[in-house]
Amino acid sequence: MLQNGREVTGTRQLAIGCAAIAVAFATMTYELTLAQSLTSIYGGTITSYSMVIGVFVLSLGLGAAYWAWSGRLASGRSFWTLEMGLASLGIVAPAFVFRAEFGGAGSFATGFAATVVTAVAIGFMAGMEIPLLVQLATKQGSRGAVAVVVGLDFVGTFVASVFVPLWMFPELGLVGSALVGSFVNVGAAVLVLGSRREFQPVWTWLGLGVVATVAAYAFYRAGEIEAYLAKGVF
Amino acid sequence: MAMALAACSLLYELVFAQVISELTGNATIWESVSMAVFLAGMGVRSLWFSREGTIDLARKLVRTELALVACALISFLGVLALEVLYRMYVYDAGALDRDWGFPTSFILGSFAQVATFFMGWFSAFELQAFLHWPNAFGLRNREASVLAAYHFGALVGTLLFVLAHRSGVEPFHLLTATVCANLAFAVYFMVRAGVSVEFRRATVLTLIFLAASAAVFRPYQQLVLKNHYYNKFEWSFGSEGLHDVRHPLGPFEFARWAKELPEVVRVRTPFQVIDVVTQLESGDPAMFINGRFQVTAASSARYHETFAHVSLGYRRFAANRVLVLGGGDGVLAAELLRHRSVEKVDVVEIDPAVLHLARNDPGFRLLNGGALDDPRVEVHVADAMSFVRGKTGVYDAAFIDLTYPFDFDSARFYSVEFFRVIHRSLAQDGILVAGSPFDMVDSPTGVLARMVDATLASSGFAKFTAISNGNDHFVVVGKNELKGGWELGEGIELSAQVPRRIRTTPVRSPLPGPDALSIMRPRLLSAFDAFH
Repeated sequence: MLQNGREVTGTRQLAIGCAAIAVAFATMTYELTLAQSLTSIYGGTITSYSMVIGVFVLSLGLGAAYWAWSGRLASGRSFWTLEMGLASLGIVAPAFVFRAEFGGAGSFATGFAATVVTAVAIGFMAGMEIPLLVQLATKQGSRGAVAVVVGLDFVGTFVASVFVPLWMFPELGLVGSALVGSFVNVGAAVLVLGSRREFQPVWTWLGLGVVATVAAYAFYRAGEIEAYLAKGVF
Repeated sequence: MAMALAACSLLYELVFAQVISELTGNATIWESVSMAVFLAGMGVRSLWFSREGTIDLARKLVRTELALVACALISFLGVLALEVLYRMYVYDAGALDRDWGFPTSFILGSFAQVATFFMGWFSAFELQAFLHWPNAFGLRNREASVLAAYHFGALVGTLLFVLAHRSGVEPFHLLTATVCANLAFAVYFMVRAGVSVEFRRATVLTLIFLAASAAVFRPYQQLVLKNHYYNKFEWSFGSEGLHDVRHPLGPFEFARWAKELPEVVRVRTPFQVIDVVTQLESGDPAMFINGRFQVTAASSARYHETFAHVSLGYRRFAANRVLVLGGGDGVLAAELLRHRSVEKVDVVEIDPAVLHLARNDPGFRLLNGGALDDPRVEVHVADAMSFVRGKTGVYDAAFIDLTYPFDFDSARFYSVEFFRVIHRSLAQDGILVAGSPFDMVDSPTGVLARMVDATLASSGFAKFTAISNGNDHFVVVGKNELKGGWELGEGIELSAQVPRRIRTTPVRSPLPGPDALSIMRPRLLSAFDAFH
């Protein structure tokens, strides 16, 4: 039994570790996609990126602070809720920024306002992910859980910082990159839920399936979506 | 405290990313890579921390703060020194045709990442120390609280950086301020840990080094700039190939020569870095933006006359209303005003500092003849994309006189979306003229040439031709029609600077293809791409 218990714990640790990398990758992807959407319309890369990252980071902090203040207990269900929310938002993230500019409003404030709303929503939810994962890992009595989860969070962000601007943007575009983030969020939820032995109702898996299907269909039509968004602005 | 240290860490990373971007001339690639390497350092150190004990965190924090400060200062000055050596011994501007298979600036940027990695390494220890502090500061849910504070600190760091950047603060001065903040924390932790002789010595040495760096920074920066702009490869081609190669001087010879060289005037704006360099032969000023050459008297006529007069020669009818995007130096506007038919020139320039230089620097004013103050010229301080978006059927000719697409800011102006907006703003027989970083007359089928074709075809332009005077290259596209060949406008003559033989391609339709550049698929080009 001890042997079985050790296997289960090892699998859960691996799942949490992979989920930490995945959620950080997805969050950074959304952050860069939103910043680049703003830059694409208005220019001013340093200002756009800095302002979007600033709002994002503020929201991450608010999310983490909320988690601390609320005294919530970490569970697979709460992680599922966060990932569903993030994956759904990720599907529409760049569209918000471009849609705000349909008809040529021409004002940086309009686009930035749309970006702020999206960034705050994504950042707030993402800010709760790492404290939640740390709690899940600590519950299992994993040694050095805090350092490992935080460290893997940085690794995921590192991977996104390299891949997103240098490969994903040119090859997949802004819409495609955000959809990849959605897939990754769904994957993280599947990893964590699947590694836990507690009962998960069918609708949790159905919900993930629906989001993944919508994201896959949007990915298939990404070129048309991009053309529609670009035409609406320009 | 976690907040303040997070702010300092992020400031180090952003300052380094900015410096490396300025030295290599490609902002977005190196900012992304610097961020990634910094995070890699943080990740590796965090994972390593899980194997360490948490004994004596206060002493370890003191050592970390002092190491971080020393690393920041040494690395900053070291990267500048590296750039000097890179320019002296590696960079040859293609003179020796050394095909390394990758841009040589990659060497410079990669070495600089070593420092960025260690910034992340030390910063990660700070975060982990707070996460594992023995009595948890009495916080409920310590991990979430510390992470929240860390994120807030990163926000503060970002905002401070943006403020400093928009105010034109030198990266070194921002670094110095951050170093002072870190030293203050080091002293605080020292008091908690007990002030040992070792720590006292290390702190005093660091303070001395900081003071010395601040004292020598300005002359040091001038040395680096003078080396960048004056100590270059020079070469010429003869009948037997490359000859008369002049290699850059080595460090000691250059240090002696640098005393006689005129100062490089650097102006930092929220949009770019402008350097005004005095040409040694003529004493004329030359303008460089983000390290790339823009305009000087010696080449101005050759470039701007070809740009303005040869391209307008493809129009069937004289142009009355003209748009110049960029060109804040005013020289292109001056050439366009020589056409009697031109009634109005709209110059759109985002950076007021360029306009100020063009209007007030005697050398540049001589070059542009005060064109920006001509009653026919209206100057708009605005982003080019935002300005043109609302215009329909207004202009007979539009000129793109912007920096080449080597970062995300500039890449927008060479996209399908931007060309569509310009297409809409042109009158029925309007033309678009853009500078090209490579010769499309000689290389009509390369990767970049196909991108240009595909982008123009997707934007709706009907006719296309490329122009080259041997040094400067342009593309001319017609909304509907272009003449079969160019003819100079009435009363226009080209000066002796312009080569007699200007090469062009036959007028044809742009070829559609899958390689069109779009802002929805941001892609960075580099000078390297033009030749591979």
